[in-house]
Amino acid sequence: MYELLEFSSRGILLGVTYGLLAFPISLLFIATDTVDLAVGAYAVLGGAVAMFVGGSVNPAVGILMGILVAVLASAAIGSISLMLGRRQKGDPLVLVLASFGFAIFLESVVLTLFGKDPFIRQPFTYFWNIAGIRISPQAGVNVAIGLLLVVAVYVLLYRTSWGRDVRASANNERAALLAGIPVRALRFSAFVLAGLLAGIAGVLVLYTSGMDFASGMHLTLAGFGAAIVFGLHGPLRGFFGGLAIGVVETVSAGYANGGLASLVPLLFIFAVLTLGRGGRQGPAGVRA
Amino acid sequence: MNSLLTRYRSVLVLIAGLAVITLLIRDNTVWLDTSVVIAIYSLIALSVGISYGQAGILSVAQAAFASVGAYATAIVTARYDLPAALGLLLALLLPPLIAYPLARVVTRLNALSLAIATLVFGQAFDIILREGGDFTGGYIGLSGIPPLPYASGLLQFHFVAWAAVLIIAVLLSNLIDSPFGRATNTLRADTLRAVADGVNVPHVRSAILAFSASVAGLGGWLYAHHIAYIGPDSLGPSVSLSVLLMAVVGGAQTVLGPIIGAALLTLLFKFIPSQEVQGMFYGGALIAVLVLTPNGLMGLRTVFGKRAKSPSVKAERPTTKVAAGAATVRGAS
Amino acid sequence: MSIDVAKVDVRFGGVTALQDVGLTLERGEVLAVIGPNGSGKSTLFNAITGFVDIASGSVGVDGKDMAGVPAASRIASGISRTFQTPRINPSATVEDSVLCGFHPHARISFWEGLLRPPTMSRTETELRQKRTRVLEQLDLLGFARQQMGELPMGIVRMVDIARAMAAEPKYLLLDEPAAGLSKTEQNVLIQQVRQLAKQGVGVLLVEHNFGLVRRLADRVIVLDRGKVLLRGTADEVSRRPEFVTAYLGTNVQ
Repeated sequence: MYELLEFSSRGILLGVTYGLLAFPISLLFIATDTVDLAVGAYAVLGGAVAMFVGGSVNPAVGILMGILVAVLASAAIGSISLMLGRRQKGDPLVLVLASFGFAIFLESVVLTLFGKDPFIRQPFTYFWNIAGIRISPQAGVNVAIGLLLVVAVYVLLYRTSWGRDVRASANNERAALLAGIPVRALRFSAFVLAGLLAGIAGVLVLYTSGMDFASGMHLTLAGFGAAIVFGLHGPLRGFFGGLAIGVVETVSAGYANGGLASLVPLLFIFAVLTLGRGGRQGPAGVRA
Repeated sequence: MNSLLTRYRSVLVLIAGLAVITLLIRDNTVWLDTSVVIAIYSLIALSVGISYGQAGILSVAQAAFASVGAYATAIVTARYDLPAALGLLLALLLPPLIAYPLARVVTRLNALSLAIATLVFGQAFDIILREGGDFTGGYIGLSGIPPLPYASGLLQFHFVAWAAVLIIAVLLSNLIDSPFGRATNTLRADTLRAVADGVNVPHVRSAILAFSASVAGLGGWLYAHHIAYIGPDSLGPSVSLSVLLMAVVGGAQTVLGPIIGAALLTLLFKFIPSQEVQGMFYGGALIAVLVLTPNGLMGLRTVFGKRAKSPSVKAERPTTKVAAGAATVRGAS
Repeated sequence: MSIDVAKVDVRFGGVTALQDVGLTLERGEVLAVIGPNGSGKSTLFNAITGFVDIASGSVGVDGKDMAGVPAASRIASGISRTFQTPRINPSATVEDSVLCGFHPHARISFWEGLLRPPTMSRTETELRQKRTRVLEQLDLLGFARQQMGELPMGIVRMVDIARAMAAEPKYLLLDEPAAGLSKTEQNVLIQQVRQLAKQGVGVLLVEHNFGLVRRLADRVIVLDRGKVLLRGTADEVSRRPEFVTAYLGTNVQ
């Protein structure tokens, strides 16, 4: 019993990071109507920089640098997305393709610069003991930051004019343009914000379960799974989706096979894709 | 006769080119080896041409389908000593058996869901391979795959590999010039238009993905028997990316495009210093191509005056001046 | 043999686009649906052809209930439609576009496409001959090789209609076919629609141009804000006061 609770608490620890990755994915989906497959790669890049700069200079500087680099990477794809938008109007798949390319690009950068060994930082050498369950203090950090970001993203999306404009342009781009909303600038800012969130998530993953150069896709998919479990249009719901996936994955890793447990986010995604959402579209996909 | 020439123009060009090249390289083992590798990648790139070029399905797992074919024949020949022909059968049949239901079962009609589903499959297959223990060889992979009994020499393998490419080129040429092919092209440009033509969109998408998976599987079969080793990293996600790049660079909607892309990139790849840097090259190149020449090299033909035979990858919504014209006319009446 | 729409409601997230709408389209008759913008005319088309779900009521074709039948199947079984804004591929040629319209009658299986059995060549030739006839009927033969994106709106609409006619449908649904057509083109259209009706095709027409409706339609249905306002012949309907009120702001000749 304690074992299950312990696994679950570790699952929440991991799930928070997945939930954090759900934010950039939903945010970008809302802003661009497509999926950025490189989100996990920004996180890995951020984590890698945090690790190695942190190791040679200072952990705090490392963390800041890591987040900054993630933002730069995301901004790069943001500019590419704007360039593509001019040439290939409205085809969401082109950005998916480009982001896939970028994800592999970043993977290769991390591999070349930092090598293929996994890396992790675990500054907490002690555990809390809560009602007989061992929990790493890292859990506290993750949950605290997670909740902080949930609130921050909520406020940003629903209580600022920026958020209102982003949601408006997601709904109907032409109307937004006509209303004077700078759609392109908004789109770019969404990428910057996504990079920030991904970078923070990456640093947290670094301190939680660690990562290696190839973790990017896994993180992207975990974030995507978290985001779609309760619907891609609700970034906050993605947070809870992430918790769900994190717990299921860690519990399966504990009781079954560790390697196969990483199939869990994939199964979640596949289930959602298969079962579909009833929804706002008619049988032939015609919008109202 | 005239329509035959038009339909099989690419095949004839390919045969002519191959004849010349074979004559030139027939005694050179290094170039023969390169030629075989190009043929193998041509097949997997053609599978991208079929799914993405013809139907607009973005599959980021074409190398995974090839890998299914490669592993199938490796397990069957290296572990169980069965004939390579059985491996071929499995390599042709298993990937479509995965692809067709995968596409059908992803219920929504939009292409994005299908792209994600292929990503999920690719990643899942990678994990399964690595956790497959002795059956798949795990992280280490399987070696000792026997060569093909009727093609033990490099020149013979060169013929076999390119014969496979030619067969697929013929089949693809047939498909493009058929009602099914036309329906596929309509579907790529505009799903609703296809429905309004009476096209069963889910079935067409799934059939095309299944066909492309089978072609990739064929490439995987050749790969396994040529390299004699297969591991989880041999035909992994970065190969899925590189074949996407090959198809896009060459021109995904044509028959020759993916083959040209495969040749070009395989030759250039020889100059990349190390394995680690591959991803940077492929990723960067893909983005550059997408931004600069989305229709690839074959698409440049239209720049030089010849009208494009097949529709270019355009928007899902009709955004042309014609649509704009409609609005003004209605306003006027 | 008819299309029977009975008590159909269509709702999109809170908005009721159609309410309790019913009509019968017989083979060989021309029925026009008119009404101001937003009255639900295109939604009616979408409901009949299966492009949107109906919340209640029924759509029957030749006695068979269409519930659960996907749009593509309905089209393939003999209902063709055009779009208010023609959906075209700008870089396809006119002849290629119209050729796609033959889909329900072509040899469409994947395997036949892949392997090209000998019988396919014959079918393909036949289709191309039929295509030439359709292009001739609509005076489009001269534009056959031109790209759709280069052509004026009137021609594009005719091509859309040609594509719908190519399928040799039992019922043809035309969504504002005359918008943007010159007088000559309108005459060709009217001639073709009359011809089709004589051959036994049931034509449902959404049209703003009441003059055209007068010349073409056997019966008229007036929609207003998703409900059926009036039914009758064009003359009967145009004399009713509600019609003029509902129709203010649209072209009444």
